[in-house]
Amino acid sequence: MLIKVDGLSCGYDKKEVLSNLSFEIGEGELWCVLGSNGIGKSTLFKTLLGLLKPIRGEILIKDKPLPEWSRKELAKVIAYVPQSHTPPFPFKVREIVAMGRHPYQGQTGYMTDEDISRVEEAMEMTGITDLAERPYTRISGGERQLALIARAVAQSTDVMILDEPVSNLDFGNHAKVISYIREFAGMGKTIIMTTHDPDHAFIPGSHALLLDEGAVFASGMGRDILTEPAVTRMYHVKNKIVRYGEPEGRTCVPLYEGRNKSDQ
Amino acid sequence: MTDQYKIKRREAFLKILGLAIFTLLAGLISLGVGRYAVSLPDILRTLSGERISPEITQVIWKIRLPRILAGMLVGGALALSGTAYQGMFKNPLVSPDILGSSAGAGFGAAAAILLSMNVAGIKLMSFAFGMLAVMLTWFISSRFGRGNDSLFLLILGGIIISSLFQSLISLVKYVADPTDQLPAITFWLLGSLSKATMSDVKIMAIPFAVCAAILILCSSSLNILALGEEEARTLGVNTKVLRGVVISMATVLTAFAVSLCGMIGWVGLVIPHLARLFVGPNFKVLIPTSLLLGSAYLLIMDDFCRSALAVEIPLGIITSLAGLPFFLYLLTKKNKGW
Repeated sequence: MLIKVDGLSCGYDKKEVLSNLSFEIGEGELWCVLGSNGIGKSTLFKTLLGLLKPIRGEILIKDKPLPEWSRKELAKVIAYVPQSHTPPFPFKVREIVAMGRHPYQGQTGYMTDEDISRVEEAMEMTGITDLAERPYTRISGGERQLALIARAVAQSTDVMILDEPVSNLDFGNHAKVISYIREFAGMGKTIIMTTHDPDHAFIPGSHALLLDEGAVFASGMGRDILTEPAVTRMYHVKNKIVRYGEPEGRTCVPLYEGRNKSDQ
Repeated sequence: MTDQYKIKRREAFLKILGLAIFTLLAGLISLGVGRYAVSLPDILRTLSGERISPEITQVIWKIRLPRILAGMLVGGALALSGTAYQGMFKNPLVSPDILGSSAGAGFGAAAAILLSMNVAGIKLMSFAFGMLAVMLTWFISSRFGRGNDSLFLLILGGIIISSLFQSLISLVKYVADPTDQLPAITFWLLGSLSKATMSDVKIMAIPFAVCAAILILCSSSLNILALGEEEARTLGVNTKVLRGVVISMATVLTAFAVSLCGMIGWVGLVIPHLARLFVGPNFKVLIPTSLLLGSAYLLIMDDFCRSALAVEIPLGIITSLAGLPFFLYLLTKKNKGW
């Protein structure tokens, strides 16, 4: 098993945010972590990435306890894609992507031919080759997100963890990023992402981890467990899951309350 | 594709090489600058061991060479630690005295003057208190900070410790004998290279080279650290070790610089910016560039101090006066990013 979480409780200091989580994630699986704002999705990610010590329980990565991994070795197995940000210095997009090769390099940071070809491949795969020489601080938010995804690809890991990868993207970039993510999963990478869009759990073959009140209340294939009551439980909103197309797609639609003036 | 990387690498190498040659030339020419002017051929002949006249030998070997080498070391050290701190604190407005080393070193020197110590004693006290101040700052941040606050607490600790030592400097000045001690303290705090000796240069050269080499080896990790602590860790950087190494190296460099020639402001802030304009933000290229630019900059400023007026102007005044408009100019270029 690639990732095995057993009886995990995580949080800050003594304040427990999530308790008693147990789940297993296998190779090439796509997982969506769903739950309302502030429920602890980021806390869970930080704990999985070894940035935050668990309060209780154990995380095994490739059957080895997480604390036994060195930072560098772990960075060869798990890549993290944060929400896009603006660093204080105008690094070029290519330099940002090349940082993904750091775990494979010595102290001098010398780029070997393999490093170079991995970086170029990653930029090609995410369609940002044309941006390579642009300053990362001066491209759009969607492009920055793609650059961070390219960096994670260049990192050549088994697992990619993405923190709300589409939260600030327009309709087109949203679809683009989700397509890339499916493509990576198709290539055998394990993807774990947090999201605020229940529809991501309906991506064919997607698993979901549903969080509410400090615990997982359902985990399994998205189309089996993400039901109307489950969405209501997480987000406290009336909703309808609509089926469409062939093969069957699903989408979750909120039913808005209240009336605006022109509707009266 | 590989070719493109090779071209880039060569371009960066040539820029650094060009700058190194420029700095060396500036050093050579500076040997001739001053009230006793010496021509370039005479400088070269004297350096190769020839004795043209006792005055020239005396001026070049005993007076100007130590001062010029000290200026290059100090300028390089301040620029280097400024660059490393700006990366570590993810903030382009940070300068090497952020953690209190300058204030501490200043107090050490002032106290040594008050206690009527000799020049060596003043330098030693200054160095020791510069180091002590940063250790206190570090202690505050690790005692009261945890997790993500630590960077913020480090800066806060630096402010506390700086102001503590600034107050102590005022106290020393207040009780110092106004006829000889007070002017000596004031003059020392203004910063000047006039007291640098060859033995200072020898003492500083090795730690300088070691610290510079270690910081150069940290440069690719510093690139990543500039994106943020957590992200850097997920990319395989041991941020705790890196931060400890950067702070110790930068502190040793700054404390040496300040103990050698007093407080010289703005170099550690302005030079990293200038270097970024020249070669971009990648620390692998930026760190050696900053080092060389800092050396050349301080050298040229000191030439000005020595030759502009009949009396020497304290270097600290000139670097501040030149640094301010220079920094404003750089801010207008901010549209290129930091």
